[in-house]
Amino acid sequence: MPSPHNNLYDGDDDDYKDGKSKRRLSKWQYFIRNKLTQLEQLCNFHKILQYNVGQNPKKTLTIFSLVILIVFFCLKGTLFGSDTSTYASGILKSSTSSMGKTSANLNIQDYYDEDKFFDLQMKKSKWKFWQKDPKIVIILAANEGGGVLKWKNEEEWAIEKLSINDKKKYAKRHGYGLTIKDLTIAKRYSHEYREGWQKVDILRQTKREFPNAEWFWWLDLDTLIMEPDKSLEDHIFNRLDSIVDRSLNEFNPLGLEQDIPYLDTSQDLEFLITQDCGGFNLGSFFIKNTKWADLLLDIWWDPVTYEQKHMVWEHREQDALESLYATQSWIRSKVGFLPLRSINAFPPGACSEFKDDPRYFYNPNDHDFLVNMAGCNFGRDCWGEMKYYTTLLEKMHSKWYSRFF
Amino acid sequence: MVFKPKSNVKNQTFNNDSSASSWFLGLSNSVPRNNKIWLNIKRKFNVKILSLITTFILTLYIFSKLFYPSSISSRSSHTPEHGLYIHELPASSRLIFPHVEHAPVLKEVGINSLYIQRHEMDGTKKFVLKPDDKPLTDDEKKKTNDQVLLVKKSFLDHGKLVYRKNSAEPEIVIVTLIDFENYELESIVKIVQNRVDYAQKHKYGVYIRWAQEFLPLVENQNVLESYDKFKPIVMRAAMHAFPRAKYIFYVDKDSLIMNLDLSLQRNLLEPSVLDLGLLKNVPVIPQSNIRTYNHFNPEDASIIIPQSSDGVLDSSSFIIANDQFGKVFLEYLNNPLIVNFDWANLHAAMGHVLQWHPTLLKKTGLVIPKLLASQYDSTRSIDKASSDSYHYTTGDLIASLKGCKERNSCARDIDTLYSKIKKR
Repeated sequence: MPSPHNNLYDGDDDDYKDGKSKRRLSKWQYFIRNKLTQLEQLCNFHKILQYNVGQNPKKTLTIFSLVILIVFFCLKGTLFGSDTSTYASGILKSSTSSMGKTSANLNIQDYYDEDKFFDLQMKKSKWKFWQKDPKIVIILAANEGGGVLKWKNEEEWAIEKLSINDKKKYAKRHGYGLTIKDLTIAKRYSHEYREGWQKVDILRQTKREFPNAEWFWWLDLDTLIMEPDKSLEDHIFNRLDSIVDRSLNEFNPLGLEQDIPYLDTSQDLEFLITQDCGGFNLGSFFIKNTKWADLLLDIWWDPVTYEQKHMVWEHREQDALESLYATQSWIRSKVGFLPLRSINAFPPGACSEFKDDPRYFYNPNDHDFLVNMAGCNFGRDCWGEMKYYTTLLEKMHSKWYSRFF
Repeated sequence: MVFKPKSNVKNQTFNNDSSASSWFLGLSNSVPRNNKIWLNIKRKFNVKILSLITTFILTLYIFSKLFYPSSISSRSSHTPEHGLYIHELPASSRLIFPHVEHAPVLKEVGINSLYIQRHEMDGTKKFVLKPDDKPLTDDEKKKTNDQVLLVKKSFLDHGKLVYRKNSAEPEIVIVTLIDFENYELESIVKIVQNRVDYAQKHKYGVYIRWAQEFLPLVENQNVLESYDKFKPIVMRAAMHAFPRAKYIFYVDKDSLIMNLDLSLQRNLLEPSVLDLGLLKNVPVIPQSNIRTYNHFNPEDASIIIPQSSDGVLDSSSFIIANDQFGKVFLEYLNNPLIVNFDWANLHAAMGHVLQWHPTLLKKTGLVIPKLLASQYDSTRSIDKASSDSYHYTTGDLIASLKGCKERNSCARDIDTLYSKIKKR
């Protein structure tokens, strides 16, 4: 077997020696040619090795390790997510400290530049790397009112920041899409209760933005995901059969008719909502990206029904949906009710007339998934509640080593 | 690396040797017998790579299955779909029509004795439909001698009939509402016979109901005034009664199917035929800014409504596909907030729904009236020579007697036209 260095070029180029070519190769070219020769020889040895052994354990090993590596990286995203709570607490501390000062640290420019949350919109799913678009997209309704009718105060900015970061971390960790929608008061929604239908327009817009998404998860701003470790698949979609109730037999706060003609309960669920003490709650719900959803979003707003009911429909689009649900079997056949506490648990302040009913309220011992501080701006302390739950979130998810930092 | 000159001869010979054996031919050249083994090994190795790739893909597939739910199954225990009544009766034939001969008796006993009445808060009385009303069994029918009770029960049980046979037929179901209060038995028989004749010829289904059956479902409980509101209700009921039918075809009682040989597919439903009759880019209702789609694909048509020459939708006959869009359209028209709104007539409500809901307009084909509702005018000749796109002439599928009530000529017109239908 020849030794490798015998084949190396060592300055005496054949062409040069022959005198046919006047061109002298530079050192660099020699070097490359040498390397190439080495490489080819190496390949040769490989073949020899193959021949001698009869098999190729090296290649097999390489492929195997490659497979393992890829699988490992695919899973990495779901197994080792970064710790949400520490991040959240950082903001909490900084914003509380800024709160004490008279000058506001949180100005708009900082806030948007720093976060760059719009980058997240086209985030790839981590464990399905061949898939381009996320299968679940979280729609977060931020900037409610948008400071049009009154100044947005520091607390509101801070709440918004905490809430956005919470969703951002969650989406990143599980490979979901996140899109943050602006709920600034606009003239087209200004007539009486028309505002509620902004939600419908936003949903339709998001459907156009993410044509390949399977589910959309609408979230109001005053929400906090308390169990960021749980994926939506594990928490909701893989166990729909056991947690969803599509009848009104067990929980019917509105006293709706339980059975209507043409109701077909064998159809797939495409709209997952919750009911609180006062009826349907659209602070947190799932809607599937289907033709049926297009129809629902189109039918939802109708000037003729609105004209007749706008004095009665105190909760706007929520009441309109209740009215459609009551009579339209094509809608009812696709609607499933999740327990309130599964995606929309309340703090004690909401539904306060039902204080003793455990079905509504967040319980840290049961590790409820999400807390929705619904209606906190109606005579309650939004910032206080947000602070409380962020601290709780941090406490619940702190690791043994986090005390060293 | 050191570049130092070497003896030319030495170098070259060695180079020749090594390159000959290892570069171009390798060891296999010097040992030709082993060549086959080498190829064999190569083949084996290919197989291995292939199998490795497959296992890799398989693992990925398994992982993707594990981590993402591909479909969501609903809770296994569910009650089957039912119509307006909970207890239903299987229909023996695809021709579902009431006992027409009961009309005089029904007229005599009156609606008051057919339904229970409920006293409302505001002092009015309302007829009420009992969804859990049980149909009369055969035994009970045999036992009783009360003819009026039998007539009453047959009126109430007629709505419970559903066609559940396991066949593709009928593809199209003809729906008509007949009225025992305002029509004579003779006219009713002709109307029903006309639909049955046509359906028999083309293996269609028939779903004929008394208009009075739907009285309890509307606020204004007067058959003449609320007649238009019954149409979407009976259409939805027909969809439930014939779940396998593709199209439900409403033909008004004041219309007659004149050309029994012309199938609906050939006259209208074939996409190529439908394309010719479509009204594209026309206002949905007169002076509306909302127009029908210019690039409408006739295969998308789930809702087919004729539009008369003055631009008004004609709800005297229309076709709704038995699919999601058709169901949504009809159910939304049956939404109490829409039904009980102060519409002048059904086509005003239809016009509203289509103007405000583009997802439904997208599936709607407006067609020329000649295809579904040619207006019959007794003063005009019905010869083909005087044909226009609006009035009835011989060979048209349907003659519509719109306005015959005002002219007070419904029975007479039905008589005249019925005699002109060619029968074989």
